Amino acid sequence: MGCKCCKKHQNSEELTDVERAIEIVINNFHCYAVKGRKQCLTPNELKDLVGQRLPHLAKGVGTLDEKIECIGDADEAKLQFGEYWDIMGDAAKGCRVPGKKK
Amino acid sequence: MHGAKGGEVMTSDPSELEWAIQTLVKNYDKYSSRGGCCCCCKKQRGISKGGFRKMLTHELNHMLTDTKNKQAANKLICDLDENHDGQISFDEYWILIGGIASPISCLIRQQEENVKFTK
Repeated sequence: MGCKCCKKHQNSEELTDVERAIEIVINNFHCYAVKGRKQCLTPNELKDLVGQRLPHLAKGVGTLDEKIECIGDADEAKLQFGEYWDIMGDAAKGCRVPGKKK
Repeated sequence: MHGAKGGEVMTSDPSELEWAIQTLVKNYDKYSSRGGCCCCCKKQRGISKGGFRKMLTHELNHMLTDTKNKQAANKLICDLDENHDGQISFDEYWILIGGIASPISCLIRQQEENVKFTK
């Protein structure tokens, strides 16, 4: 992958870990949102992102397939940043509680 | 310089994005576990108002301005605290961070567009 998206900001040294983390999550979104309207992810792009960038946490996003199907066509449907963020939230919950409880 | 991490599936090290998510989770835990909760209580109580203000000033002081503004922080808590229990749950916390991230995301996109036009 020739993605340099995570090194964009020169001033990242003065940021706190939390802020850097936020930036990384944002940058990953933009890194994969390349087709069509670039402020949105297509379901396929999201699948790639989760598969490639979340190899360990993907378990927490177990219902991803169902969610993606609800969005619509794999290449046409648009995921806003907010929806992407919700999915990252699921991944986060997955790593908080081992063996995620419902 | 090494290329961007996380491009390939790794079995041991977390990817950069995973590190980021874990950092945000750890940050929540760091501020939520303190406080008057007894040690036998397994249920996490969430972030208290004081803890939340501390978090804003310590962790988000570059992304948010005026993080020491107590009034603004309290209003933010009231807005976030959907069930009005005076505590910020993990879901509420995640919404807050998303609320900060979303406009930044738009900005980054705009900057990229501008760069393209000026090239």
